[in-house]
Amino acid sequence: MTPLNFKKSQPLSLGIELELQLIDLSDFDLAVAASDLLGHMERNRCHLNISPELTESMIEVQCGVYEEWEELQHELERVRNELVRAADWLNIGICGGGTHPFQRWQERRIFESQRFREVSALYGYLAKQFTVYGQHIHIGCEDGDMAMNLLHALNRYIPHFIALAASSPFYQGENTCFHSSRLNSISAFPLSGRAPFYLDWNGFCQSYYAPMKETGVIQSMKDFYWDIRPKPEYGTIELRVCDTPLTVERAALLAAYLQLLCGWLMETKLRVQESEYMVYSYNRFQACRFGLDGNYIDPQSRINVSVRESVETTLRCIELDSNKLSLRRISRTIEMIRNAMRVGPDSVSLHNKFHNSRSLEDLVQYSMRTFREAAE
Amino acid sequence: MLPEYEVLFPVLLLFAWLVGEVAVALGIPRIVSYGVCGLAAGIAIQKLPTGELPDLTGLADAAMGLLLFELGYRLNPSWLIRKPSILFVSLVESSLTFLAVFLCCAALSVRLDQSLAIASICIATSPGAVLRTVREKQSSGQVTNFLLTFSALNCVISILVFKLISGVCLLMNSPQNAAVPGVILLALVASVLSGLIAAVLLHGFDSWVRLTEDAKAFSIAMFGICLAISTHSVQLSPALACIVFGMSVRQSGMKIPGKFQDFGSLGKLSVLFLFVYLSSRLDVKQLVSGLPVGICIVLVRTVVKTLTPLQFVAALGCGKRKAFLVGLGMWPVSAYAMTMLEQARNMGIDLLSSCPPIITVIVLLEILGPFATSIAIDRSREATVER
Repeated sequence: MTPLNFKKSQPLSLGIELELQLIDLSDFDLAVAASDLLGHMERNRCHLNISPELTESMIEVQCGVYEEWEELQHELERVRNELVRAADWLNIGICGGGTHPFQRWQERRIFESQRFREVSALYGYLAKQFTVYGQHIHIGCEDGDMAMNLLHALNRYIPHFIALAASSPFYQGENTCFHSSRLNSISAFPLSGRAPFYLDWNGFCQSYYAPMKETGVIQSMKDFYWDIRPKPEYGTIELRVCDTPLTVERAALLAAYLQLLCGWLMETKLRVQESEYMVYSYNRFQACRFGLDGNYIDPQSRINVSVRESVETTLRCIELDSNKLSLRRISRTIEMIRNAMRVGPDSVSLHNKFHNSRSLEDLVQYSMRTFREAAE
Repeated sequence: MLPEYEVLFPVLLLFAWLVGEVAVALGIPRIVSYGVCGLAAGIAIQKLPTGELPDLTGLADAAMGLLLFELGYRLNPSWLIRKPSILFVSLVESSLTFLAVFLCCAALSVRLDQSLAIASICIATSPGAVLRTVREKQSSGQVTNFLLTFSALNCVISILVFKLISGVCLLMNSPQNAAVPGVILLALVASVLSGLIAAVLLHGFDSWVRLTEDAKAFSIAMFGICLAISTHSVQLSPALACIVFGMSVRQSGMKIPGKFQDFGSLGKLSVLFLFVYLSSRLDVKQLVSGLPVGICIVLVRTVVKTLTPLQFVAALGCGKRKAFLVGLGMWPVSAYAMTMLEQARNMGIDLLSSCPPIITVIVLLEILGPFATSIAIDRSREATVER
């Protein structure tokens, strides 16, 4: 079996993938329109990196690799503007949000491709239930060992990202009472959850990846739906727990926070122990259910705080550990994250909107308007 | 002794419904079987001593009104503003269809007034067949969007041209009726206004009471039925009024969840009634006598409808395959044509009993049209309910 090479990339470089909803404007349900949108982009030679996803009601946009998150935001805004124009031309809507509030999974259509057909055949109804929308953030790593260390060190901060990105409180026509209900759909997959605890790349490849491949459980790294997974072909780790936010600006900010956090972790060389995973599922659930107000048990000190307090504590630690020069550079990012906490995640604005209008159709219209607002 | 029509007709509807369910299992669109049942019932009724069904055209207009409301509601005017090429393609396609059918009729020695009437009716794409197929297949996507939009635009163009021609024909037949064209124009304006007023009233009522979703759908159905029957009774155009009503409700910001947009069981019953009743009114003897000319008209219309979108691939912004499927899906015309002909009969232009080719066109497209739309949606892979 050929060894799994980890491509070297610029440490802390950034990349983003965003899964977006395609909406039928006559009833605000999901549309079967991914092929139409992709065809339109191809015919008009739009140079965006867009790919189909599992069902015809979703697309994934991929951004380039950047060192500064502000550059990433500019590209996201350009992509958003192009997509809004294309959607207008096709008479469909486009928006973010981790779930569509009232679509019925039974009505989804699998995108016509060999891989998606295989996934659908393997997972049955779970494949159509996977019509949920996430943001994947890539962080560049110098080598596989760094990737594995960073991946596991980030386990403590997973609830931060779930809570800050939460935008899926409504699902299948119901108020789920969760801030992020999307992750419940992913948990049903057998290869979801957390990555196995290996801190060196060779150990991971020889003791875990290769045997899994030999037994036929997986064909590639793509078959793991872990919360964070290494992406050796890109030379990155990929954080997959975030719902797609309602705006690309929030998406860029989440990437900025991850970059900041990874930079800090690499500088302070925090040690990771497997025992930290003891409270992982509990913290993850609390963040999904209660958002920033959820309980958070610090895996090292075992102190019980809220997710909000934990984010604030982390930001203070980053500020304290930064030297004067880098502090000036990161202070704007930190302030923006604090501001995002004050405003709350998108799940809060969706709840408020629903409370006022009592209409799930209004909610979808609000999501579409929010997504395109800056484009107009 | 035979039972009265009041008993016979519901039994006929039940029978047609059951046949429809069997037909679906065999891969035949429901509305094809409704039409065939109606035709068979019409033949049987003509053999009865009383000979004719009671006049229920008002109810047929109400049933058509519900369909046209849904069509108007699904039409997105902002899209037409952003992409005026759709309007252009619709106008070109309508003009070509009109011209081709008219020339075909003229070449086959059909009377001038009848040729004009047939050509104007052939512009339309039956909203009943298109909407029912889209609903049953729960389709959404580019082909579905174009089909619904072209169906609405073609219907409006067809109404305008048909009314204009009716006015001219009435004027030609009796020159003392010089005011007729003006009256018809006024009737069209009044139809549009009545649709707008109904939407304003409904929106006001909804803002005041805050209707629940199902109450909103029911209120719309009641408003639509009353609008169609009242415009029918004063010889306005129920079709135009209901399309405008649907468009105005959407523009007012009222949202009707998808599951209520076809009015559920009420919508299904109205489609069943519409197709069975109108088909039972057709004179099958004329179908046979109009067969040669009718087949030619169907062929000409089919070729123009199918091929025109293919010439405007760039303007539509879709691939050739999808443009072809849009054209294919635009074949049906039957129920809509029948309501127009019933209205024309009320105005004194009786094409139903004096123009055999139009009966042939209606019957042929009643059978072929829904098949074509169904195939178009299946092949476009936009249906979420697969057979």
